[in-house]
Order: sequence, then structure tokens, then C-alpha cells
Amino acid sequence: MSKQINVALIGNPNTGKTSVFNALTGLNQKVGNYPGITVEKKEGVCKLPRGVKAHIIDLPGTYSLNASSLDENVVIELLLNKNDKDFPDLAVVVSDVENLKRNLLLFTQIKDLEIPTILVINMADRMAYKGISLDLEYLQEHLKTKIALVSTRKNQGIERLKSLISNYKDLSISHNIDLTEIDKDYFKNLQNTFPNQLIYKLWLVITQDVNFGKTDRNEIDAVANFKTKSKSDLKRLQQKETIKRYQFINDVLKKGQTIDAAQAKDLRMKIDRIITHQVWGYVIFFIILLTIFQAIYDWSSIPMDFIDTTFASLSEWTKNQLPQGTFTSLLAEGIIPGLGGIVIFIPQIAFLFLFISVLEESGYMSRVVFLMDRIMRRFGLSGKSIVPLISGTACAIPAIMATRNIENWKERLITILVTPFITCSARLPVYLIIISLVIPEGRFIGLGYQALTLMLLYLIGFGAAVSSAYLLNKVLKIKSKAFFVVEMPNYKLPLLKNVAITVLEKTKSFVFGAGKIILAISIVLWFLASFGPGDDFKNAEEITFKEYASQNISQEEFQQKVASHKLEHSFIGITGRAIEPAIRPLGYDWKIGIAIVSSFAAREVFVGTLATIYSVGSDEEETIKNRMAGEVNPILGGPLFNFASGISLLLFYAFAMQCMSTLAIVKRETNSWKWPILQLTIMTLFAYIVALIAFQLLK
Amino acid sequence: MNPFIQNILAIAALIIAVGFIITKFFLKKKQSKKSCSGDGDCGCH
Amino acid sequence: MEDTLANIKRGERCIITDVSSIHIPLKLLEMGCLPGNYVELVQVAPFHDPMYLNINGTHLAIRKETAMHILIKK
Repeated sequence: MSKQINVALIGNPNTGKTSVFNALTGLNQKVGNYPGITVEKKEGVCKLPRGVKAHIIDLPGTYSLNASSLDENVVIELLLNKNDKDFPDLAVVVSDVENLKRNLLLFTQIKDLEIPTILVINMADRMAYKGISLDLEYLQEHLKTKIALVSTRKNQGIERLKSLISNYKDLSISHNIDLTEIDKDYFKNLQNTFPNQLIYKLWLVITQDVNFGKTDRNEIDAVANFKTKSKSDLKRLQQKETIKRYQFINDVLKKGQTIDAAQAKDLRMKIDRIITHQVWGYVIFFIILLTIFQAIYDWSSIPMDFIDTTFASLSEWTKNQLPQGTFTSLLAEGIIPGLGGIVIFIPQIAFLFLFISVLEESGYMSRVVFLMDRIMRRFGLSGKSIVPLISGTACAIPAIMATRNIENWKERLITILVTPFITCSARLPVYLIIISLVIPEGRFIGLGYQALTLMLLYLIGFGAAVSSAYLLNKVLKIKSKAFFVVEMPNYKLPLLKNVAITVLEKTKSFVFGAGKIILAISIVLWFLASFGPGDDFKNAEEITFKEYASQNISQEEFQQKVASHKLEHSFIGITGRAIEPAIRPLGYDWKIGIAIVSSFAAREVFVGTLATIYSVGSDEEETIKNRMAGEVNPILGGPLFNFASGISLLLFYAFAMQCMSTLAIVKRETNSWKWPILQLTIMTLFAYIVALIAFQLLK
Repeated sequence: MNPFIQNILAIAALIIAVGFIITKFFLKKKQSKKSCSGDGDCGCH
Repeated sequence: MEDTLANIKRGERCIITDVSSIHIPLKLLEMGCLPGNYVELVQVAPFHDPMYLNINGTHLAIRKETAMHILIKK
């Protein structure tokens, strides 16, 4: 019989916990969510000797069991709830050899919960460089644990870790710290009242609101009586507890660890003098941003053009090779262009996540937080808002979830509300296709006009975000205490494996997540565009024939007229023309209107919709871009996508809250419908007005 | 392939697509705990 | 000489003498900001805020308003 062990991977942020997780599980992992909350839950399976399987959970990084955020709360809730199906048989605490002292704090807390615990000392390859040597025997004995010295970079120590995991029954579960020494009367009294409970567990329940195992619940409810101490008294006790833990750790490390300061090299200081410099820091940050945008635009255009033409010819091939009929048409005009509309974004999304994960992995992101805090605070944001705002360039959803480590609620709420203004990767395809249609090629001091326009749109998004934050900061009357503590991790060369897994994971979830919706919508749209009610649609050929009977037009032209007449009287055409009056002042026709409405599901649907609508009406093998360029404005004449309507569309997409999923996440993160509804109304209204003004001025 | 099979296939595709959209966006409350998540399985990425 | 951490100069190494636990988040204490530990200013952002510190080997950034509640000895 195969046996399964539940292993919880716990550790401070920046200890390389995820690298250990990746080393143990490889690609054998899945990312999900904890029920009810949007904290990312990473699980994986690791095969151990003798057919034993370890089910490994990578818990969110935390500095201590005293949780100060939703993510950290997950850790403590799991460790206190013995009935949870994921309750660990053993905990693996991952620490970083350079910050052992601080990392051991969490370790001693977990030991106090009497859970079998293994200590991983990661980044062992840095020991010589930092002049650190460890007496592992001594440490194991005094910390009452087994230690695995690991280097994920050099792939060392993982086998030992695996063998320790499979022999977890040999681990000691005795404490490191005696809590009662902190305040004898208080803790003795507490223990006497609940003789069957772990004292540290009781203490955690008293000092914070944790929800735990139902069976324990009733008994522990009485613990409320012990909250009699005032908040500041409790906090004083927590401080004493922390000091006590550090005393223990210092005593152990005094003998177990030697640091030869003469050997230690401190490159980070030298790098940080420049990277966090009051002037150069900002210059470097700006150059990095500029490089990223130029790269995304230039590098991804090659595979994108290739994908675009490939799908166009695939569609043509299907139409010619398969027997004629409804399904063949659906394939050629609905499904294949729909699939093309998904695949075409893969290069950009991959590049974007590549850059973001490199910035995070290297430790640079924390420096940006440091540099930007003062500036962001002027706008009611926090330096930590920079992480959501930068991740927002990928997608607002993970970005809004990344606001969780902003401790101050007002700063966090404002960040959530303004993040959707940031140009996300879903806007990118819309921007790219419109830019390529209406902005001339050509260069200005080495940078293409088109790339500059894109850069400008990113700046507009960022500007809209910070200025609305400024307004919100003035309007919102929320009082909350501001805490701002950011660790500045050491610089690390990003691990190729970690970056690759992130890029792969995100791209995959785009293709299979958003992709399914885009495909489904393209299929529905094709039907709506290919069928219609009433005689106008059914008798399209006769009506067109009558209309053009007097004129001498070729067979081909006649077929095109029939097709466009049909499209106009199809279900989609009727809907589109019904909303046309509302969008005509912005310079759009009903086809664009349909695309805007359907892209409310996700912005990138815009391009797919236009591709579907236009391919229904056309016979030739053509790329989406060429079809759009050929469209004629029915009222004004001239190309439909000209400078004025193009700019108007770009601005509309820059400001409008065109994403159902983001609204859902905002609802969940703010726990109220008030904020998402407010966001939707204000952003859409603003987008409409700006687009209106732009078109009217430029036309 | 005769037109009949073509029609059946096309309608089947339509039903699957509509069904998918409905479950994704309108029955979200029941599903949301599992399906809509940080990995971006939610219509955006 | 006693002073608050907000007035520390770059490159200076001081000892923390007292932290006002009501004004300081527990998280900061847990990261090593405790009496007796050393603290060094690595870098400051414009307007001396936030401050990039090395406290007892942990590198972290805090705002000036928080630093004002930490007493140091030169």
C-alpha cells in the first residue's frame, strides 16, 4: 500500500522556499486557492523511497506565526487545525544561511506547536562567500531537530532532505522555549485552566483571531476570559516572548555558528549604493522599464506576425479542403480565428512574466519599493503599491491579490481601486492592432513612433492610476495605522528553473483559462453573425440583386454585397445597430460596438470578435489587420480605423474597466459590492467621455 | 460529410460554448471557490 | 548619546536602547529590532525617508515616522 505524508513547507520570504519546493516536486505541482479566499495554494507531490509519497504544500512566506496579513493567516490556521485534511505530519522550515538568526524565530514557534520539524538551511553555496561555518551536530542537538544543508542552485542536499522527510517519525517534538518563564503567573494559570491544550496554541489564540478546529472550538472559547489583559499588556508579553526566543537563538548560534567577518564579502552594499541612490536609483529604474517595453514590443512582433499569417492560411486551407457545410464554416470562420486570437498573445504574455519574475527573483523589486515609497505616499499609496502596479502590467487579478502585503487598509484599498488603470497584457493586443493601423511607421531618435505610442499609453495608464489615487486619498475618510516594513533581500541571480516555471504556469493558465472563454465567445459570435431573423436576412440575395440590378457589378462584388447585407441583418448586426447611436459620437460603427460589448468578458476578446465578424463577411485569405484596414466608415467615408477613431478607441480601452474577472476579484478582496460597482461606473463613464472628446477634436 | 452531420456538429459546438459561458459567468457563486483563482483561471489571466 | 533612529547618519553604527512597543509593529520586533541589537543606516531615499537599515544582520526599510519611536545610543 502506498502511503502519503503531508508536508508543510514553511519559511520566511526570500529564503528560496519556492526553489526548494520546485526542487522537490519538479513540474509535479499545481496552483490553486484556499477555499473562500484568494490566497494562492501551491501543492505538489514528491516521490520518496519505498513507494512513499509526500504531499507537499508550499505555504505563504511569513516571518512569524503572529500573522499580520491574510496570506500569513493561512499558515497559522493550517497549523492549528488538526482536522484539516492538509494538516502536516511534519513541517519543513526553510531558512537562509545568511539570515539564520532571524529565520530561526519562526522555527522555534513551530517547534512549540509540537509538530515534527525539519530545518532546511538553504543557500549553503553562499557560506564560504560569507565566511560562515556551522556546527551541524551541535545545532541539531540544541534545536532538537534534523538539519538538511541545501543548495538549490547547486542541487545539493535535496536527497538528504527527502530521506529526512521519509524518516519523519524519528524527529523530536519537544519545545525549544518554555513560555511560562515569560510571565509565570499568567501562563501557569492559563495552563491550569486548559490542562489538555498546548500552551503555545492557547497563546496564539489569545493574541490573534484564529479560526480553528471545530472540535477544539468549544473548549477554547473560554479562552476569551484570558483576554482580560489590555492590548498593550498582551503586546508587551509578545515583545518579551520575542526577546526570549532571540536569547535562545543567540545562545545556540554562539556555539553553532561562526562568522569570519574578514572572509565575508559584501557586494550587496556596493550594488545598493548605486541601485538605491537618490538619483541613479531612479535613472536605472526608468531605463529598466524602458528596456522592458521596447523589448516586449520588438521581440514579440516577430512570432506574432508569424502566428497571424499561419492562422489565416490555416483557415483558408480548412475552407478549401473540407466538405462544404455549416460545421466547416464554423471551423474556418469561427473556431480557427478564435484560436488564433488566443495563441497570438502567448509571446507577449511569456515575455512580460519573464521580466516580472526576473525582477522579483533578483531582489530588485524590493529596491523599487524603497525608492518609490515617499513618492507613492504623496498619492495615498505605499511603496509596496509599486509591486501591484508593476504586476498590473501583466494582469490586474494577480496584481490586486498582491496588495495583500500592504498592511495599511486605506493604502491597500486605494491600490486595489486604481490598479485596473494600469495597462494589462489584455489591453496589449487591442493597442497593438490599432496602433499598427493608425500610427505611421517611422522613427524618432531611434525609437519607433509605434513603440513610443505604446509607451505613452502605459504612461497614461500609470498617470490615471496615480491621479485617481490622489483624489481617492482626499475623498476617502478611512483611518488606519500605517506600518511599513520591507525586507531588502540579498541580490540573487534568478534561478532559470524558477523563472521558467512561472512563465510556463502563467502562460498555460492564460491559454486554458482565458483561452477557453475567448474560444467559446468566438463560437457564439459566429452563430450570431451567420444567422438572422426575418426576411431581410433570408432574402439577402434577392434584395441585393434588386438593389444592384441597374448597376453593372461583377459576380465577386455581388457576393460581397450579399455577405455584408446578411451580416447587417444577422442577430449580431441587429444588436450592434441598436447600440450604434451610443457609440457613433466616439467614431465607432456597430461592428466595433459588438467587439466592445463582448470584450467586457476580457479585453483581448476585442480582436477575436472583430476577426470573427470580418471573416464572416469575407472570402479571401487575409490577416485580421488587413481586414480591419479595409473597413470603410459607413457615414463619414474613408477608412473606419483612422487616426481620430483609433485614438478614441485606444483611450477608451486605456480607461474603461473592461474585465469581469477583475470586478469579481475586487469584490472578494474588499468584501463588498460597493467598490467594484463604483470602479465600473466611474471608469467606464470616464473612458466614454475622454474617447468622445478625443474623437470630436481629431476628426 | 453530409450537411446533416455538419449541422449536428455545429449545433453541438454551440451548445458546449454557451454552456461553458453560462457556467463560467453566471453560476460563478457556486464555482468560484474552486475555479477562479490566482493562477488566472478566470477569464483573464 | 541617546537619540532616535530617525536621526542616524549614513554609515553610522548604533545600538538600539529602547523601542516603544505600542508604536512599533510586532513584525519589526520579530525581524530583530530589539534593545541591545545594533543598527546601521545603509541608504536613505530622498527626504531621508524611507530608511534602508541593517538591523542585527537583517536588511530592511522602514519609514521615518516609525524610526522616531526607536531609541539608539551612539
